This record gives sequence, structure tokens and C-alpha cells, in this order.
Amino acid sequence: MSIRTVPLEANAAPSPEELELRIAGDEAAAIEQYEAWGFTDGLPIVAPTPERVEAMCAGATRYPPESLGDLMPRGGSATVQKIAINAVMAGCRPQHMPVLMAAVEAIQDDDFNLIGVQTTTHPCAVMLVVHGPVADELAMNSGHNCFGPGNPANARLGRALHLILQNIGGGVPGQSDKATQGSPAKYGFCFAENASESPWPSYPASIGLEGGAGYVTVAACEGPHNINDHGSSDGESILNTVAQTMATAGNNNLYVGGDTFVIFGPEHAQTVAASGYSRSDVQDYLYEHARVATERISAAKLEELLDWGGYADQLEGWGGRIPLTRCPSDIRVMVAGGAGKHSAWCPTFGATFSSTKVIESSVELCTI
Amino acid sequence: MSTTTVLNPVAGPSPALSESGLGLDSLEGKRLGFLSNNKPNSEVLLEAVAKPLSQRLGVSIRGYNKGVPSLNAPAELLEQIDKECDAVVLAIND
Repeated sequence: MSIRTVPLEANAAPSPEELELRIAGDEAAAIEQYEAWGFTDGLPIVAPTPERVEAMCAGATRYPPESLGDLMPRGGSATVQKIAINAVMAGCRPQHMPVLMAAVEAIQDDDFNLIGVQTTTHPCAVMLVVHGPVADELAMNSGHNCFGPGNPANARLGRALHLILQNIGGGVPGQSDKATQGSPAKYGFCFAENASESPWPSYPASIGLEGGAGYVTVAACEGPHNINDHGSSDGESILNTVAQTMATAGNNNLYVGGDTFVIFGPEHAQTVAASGYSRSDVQDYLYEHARVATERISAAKLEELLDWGGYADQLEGWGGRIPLTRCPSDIRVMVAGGAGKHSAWCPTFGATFSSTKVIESSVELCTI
Repeated sequence: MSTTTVLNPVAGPSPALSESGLGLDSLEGKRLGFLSNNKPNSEVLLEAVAKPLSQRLGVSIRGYNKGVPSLNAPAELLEQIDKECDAVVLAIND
């Protein structure tokens, strides 16, 4: 282990091989130095002292040196210890570690395209959804204002994942992270599925995952785009509003598809289900109706879409209306939020597919 | 003066990822591939690099396009480039 004493006025950031850093001054000085080195997201952090990191590692079920993989684009090794350091900085608690470990595993799926997600000019953040009893064990928010502030677990888990992407994966804003404008969702975008108020089976069950005490889903999404419909009282009318909100010419899904997320508020979901729509019915409806007519797209933009999307020969069969995804099931449907007649659409980066993984240690976690 | 000990949150690349694969001593007379990410300005950038290399070192230029800018180049294309070129220049200009 390499140790060095760093004067506060030092400019050069330490190399990744230098694990333990002695910074002149108190914790506030250390935090200031971390900000100067670009190790934070700009908000105040908790100083990752060896004692706090050791306590954080105790929440994991693997040993601190074990690596969960190399995160692109830098290819930094995501050891349990490095994950824990970033978790401490985000304010996490040890019981959050299994969720972060599952998320780190999930973002490495080939189809997630982490190198593209981290380096694109698109403003995608990594949305982190927690499913199952573990979300309640962690007192997560799946209800009112679940995308917003106020819940410690939602806020800290989402923040920790983005610090991991930045500090281990190397998605450093303005360097490898080339986002033209970025998104406030990159500070953290984490919530729990509201399965108890969903008229449809839980999201993991809908993709064939059952029995675990907890799952995470990661998706490279824009922040949630609101869908307001207070007037409609039947399912088709609500779905029409959802579809027309999704049918926009500038979203990335229009290029190569990928998957895209519709997150119904419970009231909209229950109205839609009461009209006889299953989850797959909803997906079929949105696949058919959330389409962008070519006459709404400039000639140059259409040429680009056909080139990158490779679907020129399918356009006629689609009636000149481009679907957002390549099949209905890529329109992902789940429920979150509280009372009120709002839902949300989260367009994705497009060149990406979400990933859902079991939280392996969630059973043990519940006994801590 | 007192100090605070903290742990470094940054991880470096694993050794396997940081090795350079380029084993050429010189580019003179070599076959040089130019791989575009299929965004318009990548062609501009590649041409600006290819022209002087061709003039000064006599490299033979071969152009490629990976198709979708947001995805990795297809494996078949990488295999083709590997067979047809001694080195490759990438451009990701937007």
C-alpha cells in the first residue's frame, strides 16, 4: 500500500495506485482537495476515511480486494473496496453495498454498452431501480416524489452509482464524458418499483425473474419526461396520451431502438388495467401508436436515421411511421409514484439495453 | 500540522487494457486504415490526417466506416481491418 502526505496546495491528482492519502488539515480540507482533484460530483461528500470504508465493506458479501470487473471507458477495476470508497463519499450505509454491487454487475452486460453510455454526447444517466422486499428493508421510496429528493436510500444509491461511473469507469465530465448538456439525473436517478400498487406483475416477474428478495434494473436514460392526463378516464385514452408524448422526432430511440421505459403512476396504471389492458397489451399499443411519421422529420435527419438505423427497407411496411423500438417488449412498463394522474417516459440512449440482476445477498442483508 | 487520511476513489485501468498493441517502428510504406464513426466531421478529421501521411510517408490509405456511431465497430469489420491494415487511425469527431 502506498501512502503519501499531500499538501493542500498540491495540484496533481494522485495516481490510482496510491490508495491511502494523507492530506494536510482536517476532513473539510480533505474534501476540498478531493473537489479540486475532480473526485466529487460537486456536492459535499463524506470523507472516505479508512475506518468508514472498512465499515462499508462489511456490508458486502465479498472480500474488499475482489474485483467485480473493469468498468469502461477507462477500464478501472471495480473492487469491492473501490465501490465502498465511492459509497462512503455518497453517504451510503453498509446495507446499501449489495445493491451497488448488483448494479455494477448489471452495467457490464455487453448489450448495456457502458463505453457508449459513458462517452456519448447524449445526456443519459444510469437509472437504478430497486425491486422486491429489499427496497422496503432499505426504506426506499416507491411512492410520492420517488424520482425526487428526500429519501436517503434513493438519493445516496443513485449518487454512489454515478460516482462509481466517474471515478472507477472514468466517465469524467468534460473528459471522457462528452455529454453536450448532460442531465441533472447524472447526480443520481434511483427509485423503487411500486409493485404493491401495480395492477400488473412486478417488473422482474415480467421478464421471467422470480423468487429473489431483491433485484436491480439499470438503464441508460434521460431524466423522466412527465405525461399528464387528468381528463381521460379509460385506458385507451390514457395510452393515447402516453403514445403521443413518446412520438417525438428528437429522441435517441428513433435511431437504433434499444429499449425505452414507461413508468406509470399507480392511478394511470389502474385505469389502464381496468380497461382490460395487460402489460403486453400496453406494450403492443405503444409499439403501434408511439411512432413518428416521416413527414415530421427533415430530409437530412431522415437520411441520418435510415443510415444509422438501417431500416430503410422496413419503412414502407411501417406505413412511413417509425417505431421507437424494434419490438413491443422493448417498451418496458413498470409502476412507480404516488397519487395523482401523472406518468413518465424515460427515453434511453438508444444504443443500449437495460439489465436486471438479482441482489445476491439480499436474504442475508435482511438479517443484518 | 495535522493530517487527514482518506482513501483514493479512483481506479486505474487493468494492465491488460493499458498495453499498446502497435508494434510498428515506422509507418513508411505501410497499409493504414482510417475508421470513421459515421458522423460527418469524422471524415473531415480523417482526411486531414490521411493526406499528409500519404504524401510524406507513402502509406496506402484504406477507409472504413463502423456504421452506428454509438456502438462498437462490428467484430467482422475489425477482423477485416486486421487482415487488410498494418495500423489504424480512429476518428470520433461529431
